[in-house]
Amino acid sequence: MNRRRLLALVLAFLIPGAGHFYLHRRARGVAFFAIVAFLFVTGLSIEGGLYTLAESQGQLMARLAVLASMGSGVLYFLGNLTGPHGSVWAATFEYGRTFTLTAGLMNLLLVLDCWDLASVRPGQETSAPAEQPGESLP
Amino acid sequence: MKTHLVLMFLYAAATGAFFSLLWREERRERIRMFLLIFCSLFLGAIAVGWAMYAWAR
Repeated sequence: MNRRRLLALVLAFLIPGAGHFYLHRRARGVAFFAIVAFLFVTGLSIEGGLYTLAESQGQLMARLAVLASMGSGVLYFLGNLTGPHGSVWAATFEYGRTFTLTAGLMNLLLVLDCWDLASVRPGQETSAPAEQPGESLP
Repeated sequence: MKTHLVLMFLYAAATGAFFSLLWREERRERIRMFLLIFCSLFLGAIAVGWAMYAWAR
């Protein structure tokens, strides 16, 4: 694995959108960060919780949920440090968990997308051309 | 902010924006993809909710 690809993967995992930013898809990187961070922060702010290893109690599905949540990288670990979050009695608890879980899954998809983008050699045709200066998102 | 409808709306909008940016390149295709995902999630959930109401009695 070359250094560029490895760095893109690590950045993409740690900070949502950072991998795309590093691979010169800057507008997209910022947009992805905004979406993933929005979902994660909203999930915690509506009294949703985070799936943690401590409360998974060895159950397979709970552990998979923990892995999915961890996909949000630094956001997950910051959330864990500032936690515990939410109240299981709140009506929006499961909504919040779904938001944080989805944020993690989205970031895992972004990591895979970065792998794909970083695999393209210079000069090789790609279906996703690098953004030109001044290009805006819809 | 904490009503089911608002949360459904936010979730559908965020998911639609994410996948339209990830999967589509052209502006028009992105808008179409966003609307498809948003409507499927938001309006679909309302439709399924009403459909379940028929079995609630």
